[in-house]
Amino acid sequence: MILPSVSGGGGSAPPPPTQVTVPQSGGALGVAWQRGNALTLFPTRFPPLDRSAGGGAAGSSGGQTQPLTLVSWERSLFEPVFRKLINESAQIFIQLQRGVAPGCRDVGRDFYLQISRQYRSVIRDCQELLDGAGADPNTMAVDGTGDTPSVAQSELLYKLELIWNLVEVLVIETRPVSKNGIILPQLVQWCCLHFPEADQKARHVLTENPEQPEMHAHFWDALLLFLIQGRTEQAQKLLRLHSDFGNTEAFGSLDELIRKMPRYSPQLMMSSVDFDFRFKHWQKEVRSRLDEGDFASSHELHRLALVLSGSEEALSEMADKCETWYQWMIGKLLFTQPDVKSYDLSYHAQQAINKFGGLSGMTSLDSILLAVMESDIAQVINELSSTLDNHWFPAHLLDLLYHTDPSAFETNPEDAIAAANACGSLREYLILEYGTCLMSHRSLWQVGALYMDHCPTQGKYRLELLLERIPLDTETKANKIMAMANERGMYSIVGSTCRVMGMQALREKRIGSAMAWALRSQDAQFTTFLADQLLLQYCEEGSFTSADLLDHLGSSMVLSDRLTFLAKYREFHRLCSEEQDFKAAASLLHSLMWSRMAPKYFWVTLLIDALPFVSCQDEVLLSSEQTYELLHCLQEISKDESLPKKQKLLLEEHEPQIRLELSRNLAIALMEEGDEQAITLAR
Amino acid sequence: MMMDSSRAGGLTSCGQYVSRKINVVRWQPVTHPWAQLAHGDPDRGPSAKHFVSGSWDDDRNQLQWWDFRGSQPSAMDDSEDPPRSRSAHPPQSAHHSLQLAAQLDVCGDVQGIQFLSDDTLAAATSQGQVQVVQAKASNAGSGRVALESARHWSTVHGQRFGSPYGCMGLAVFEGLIATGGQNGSVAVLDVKSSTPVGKLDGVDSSSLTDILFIKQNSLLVSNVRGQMRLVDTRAPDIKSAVGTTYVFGEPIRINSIAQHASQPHIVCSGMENGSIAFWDLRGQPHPITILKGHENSSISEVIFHPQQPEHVLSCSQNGEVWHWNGTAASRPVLTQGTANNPGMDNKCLWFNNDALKHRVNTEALMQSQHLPINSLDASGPYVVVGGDSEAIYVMSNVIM
Repeated sequence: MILPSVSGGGGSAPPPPTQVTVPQSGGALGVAWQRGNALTLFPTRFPPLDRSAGGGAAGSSGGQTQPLTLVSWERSLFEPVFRKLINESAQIFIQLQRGVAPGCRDVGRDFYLQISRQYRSVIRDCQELLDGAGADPNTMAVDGTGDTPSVAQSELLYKLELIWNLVEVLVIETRPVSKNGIILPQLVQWCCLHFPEADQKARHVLTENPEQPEMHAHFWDALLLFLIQGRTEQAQKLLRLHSDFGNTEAFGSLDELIRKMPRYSPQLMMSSVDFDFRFKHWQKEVRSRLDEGDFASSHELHRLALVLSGSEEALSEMADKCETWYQWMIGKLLFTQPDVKSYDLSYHAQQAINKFGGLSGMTSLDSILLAVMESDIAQVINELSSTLDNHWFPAHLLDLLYHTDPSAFETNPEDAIAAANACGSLREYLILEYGTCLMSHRSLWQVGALYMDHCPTQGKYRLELLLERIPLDTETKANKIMAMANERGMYSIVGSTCRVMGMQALREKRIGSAMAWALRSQDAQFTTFLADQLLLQYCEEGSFTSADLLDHLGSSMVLSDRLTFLAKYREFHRLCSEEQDFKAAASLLHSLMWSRMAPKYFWVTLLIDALPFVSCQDEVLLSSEQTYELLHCLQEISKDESLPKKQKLLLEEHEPQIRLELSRNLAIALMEEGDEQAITLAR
Repeated sequence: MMMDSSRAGGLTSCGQYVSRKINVVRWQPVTHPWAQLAHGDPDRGPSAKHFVSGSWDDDRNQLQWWDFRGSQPSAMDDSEDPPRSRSAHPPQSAHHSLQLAAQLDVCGDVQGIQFLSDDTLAAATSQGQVQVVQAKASNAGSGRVALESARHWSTVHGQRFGSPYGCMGLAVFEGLIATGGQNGSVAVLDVKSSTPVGKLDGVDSSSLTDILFIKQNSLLVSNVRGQMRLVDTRAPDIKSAVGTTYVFGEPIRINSIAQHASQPHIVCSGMENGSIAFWDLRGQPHPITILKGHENSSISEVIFHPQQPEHVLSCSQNGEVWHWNGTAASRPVLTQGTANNPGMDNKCLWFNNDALKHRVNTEALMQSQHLPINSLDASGPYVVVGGDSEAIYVMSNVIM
């Protein structure tokens, strides 16, 4: 399954590999990282361009554009079926993290078991979907692809579930129950669940030869398989169907032996010693009946009885009836050492493997199962990571094991802390890798972020770097990213997202929209810049483009002095045109300039704006003091060398008139004020 | 406000992972929803209901047409479970099933879907495209449908540097479709005409977020700075087109606006800070009442229940779906003869601050999701929700 798919686009099916041609003379392959698990490949030097064709810079206008090749990997998870797996398992993952979060009450073993079963059911569900998709063309429509569902993928999921189940039995379920360390019943159950061969054979026997089932070729095989799976009731039922049952003594004898076979059950509260005693006693009886020749009449019965007696030879012969070494091993243990302890399992597993052709003939599934039986979790994860093309499975499995028992890595209690640390950092590595893989996908980045949240050491930093690199195609996406960043306290992401969106709006000459983004992130610098832009626009066009925004700034105007000025200046306009309150307008205008809130380049405009107020015939709108101050401003600005040329010209044009009107107004104002003073004095 | 974590009354839910992030869900309108929904024909099994979903942020975005079959459950089902796998848990409640019937690729994220009639819908995308899509029976008797694009308009909000401005919201009124643009413009389209019948540029200097038809010629648009505006589509120029501005007070994004089914002047808006504001378009330009919820997380969509407007439903970016039940508040209080007070009956309960504070029940309809819920819709007793966890849930018996 190590198939890094090379694709030129973002399709879900791996297209045929594309080639990047690198010219021989001094060319090299250039590589650039994309977000997450993707690289862009390109030749660093381009083939010589045909000058006559008008080609300039390489790859730009010469008509010889060089295609960029995108290489991405770990893509198998992005198929629709697996997206269900991703989302459903994310829910379980979060459930687990919430359950073990500090401050929560101590969760029991049952909680982990339940989580583990949920994971397994998701895998099985996904496998069923893959199988169903092959059978039913309508289901394909649901998944939205025309790809042929892969039988191999379904098989892979089956194997993964097999591994997970064994881990569940041996690590998650057993450890605390190991009062007496008996694990075989669970192993037998695991075997029954995954090897339904006995049932299949029995079904064949019954449907094809209902009258004389023993005539069917599979009759005795089915019986044997039932026995080595410890399913005594089924074995008895099948045995009783034999036509000679009841006629021959031997059948009754075997039937009785099967019925009497002691079974260990944790519910019985039987001690290990007690069970061992009973089992030995039972096998003694089997052996004595064999010696007495009870089964001499039938070769098959004799052989079955030999298996029951735990005869090495018979059990060894049985191997060719078993599909796999572990099936045989469990069957063998059932009759030779039913109280086997988990630490002995690795010895028996080695033996079974030798029996089945040794290590060389093993697949990676075999070696993973062996590692599970050896309780070598590190090896399990290692094998899984090197075999699978993504980290979904090892990440989730190790995460669960880490929470269940962080010291599972090490059997030596002295090293438990070191082991827990090692386990923790491996867990984090795997989850980070899996999260990164999800974040490389256009749509699954949100799920990826959820995983990063649970990596205590690096998660936050990596998430920050990846979030920053998600292309902001739409406003919706920008909002989602900002919400995500806000929730996690990554305020720099919020700021940069707003700035990118704001700049984009600015490029499109939508200053109002850009301002909305700047205000959202409380970006004073950007706000000032945008306010300047609006003022410049006003200088050129004589009207405001974002009046609706400026009119309702509210408290956000204090973010930047320039914005405050802009809003106040807009208010001045409203006072003039809508409310016709010239007195208020005039004093606002004066205060804007005298408080130095207005930028210097805008003073000329303000002074010109003041002209109608000072040349008003009916009423004195500016007091003498205010007029003095405006004259002061005029003086200051006319001496200012740094004024932009356009403003300078404008000032030169209007200066005499402004000066004249201001002094006229000063005269009138002084006269009126003098009159008022005289009146007050007279009173 | 109360928060019921559990309730008697058989709320059931059914969910499905759909391998796509869902941005919009809409029920197909039915003429007599209560009669058709509540009791399926016993001979034909549970009756089918349909809804449409639109995906976002994917390589290929789609409109999908779903069949939902539901009947009154005979026993109580586990109500607050996420969709579970078949093997370990029952796949869906035995009484419910959810099946994809048809799909259609669209260009860009689906930003809005509205039904024009029983079998025709309009959809708008982030690529500035508006489509009229018809659901047709693909072959007689099989019950399967096909989605066909009947008409489409491109770049309805114009473009800059070659990339079209996206539609942010969509509203329909009889044969008219209106969309609000990312660039603050409003486009009005007629189903019968291939060219837009109206385009108003600069309705807002920032982005619009949602749009509603108040009357045939009157639109309400919301923006990112906590404002809503009335827009007259007949006006000769933009200055006279923009009418009253309604201001929330804080400059925060209004994500969704919804209208009371029987009293068109009553509008509610879902805000970015998790509150729902109720407005009287005939009254003052400020919200009359404000409900706070969703732990201050941004509200993705809010609706009045189409048949029973004393119920409001909302969903949020932190993955919650809430049901605001105003039934208790709408009943007159038996004090000082208010039962005979006609003035009381005319007053909308959502404008009664006192009633909202003490007599509106709030309940979460489902366990909080780990990713945002983007959209919800209600029809009769059913509520459908969809979001970024790539799952669609249909809840039954939400409103009895």
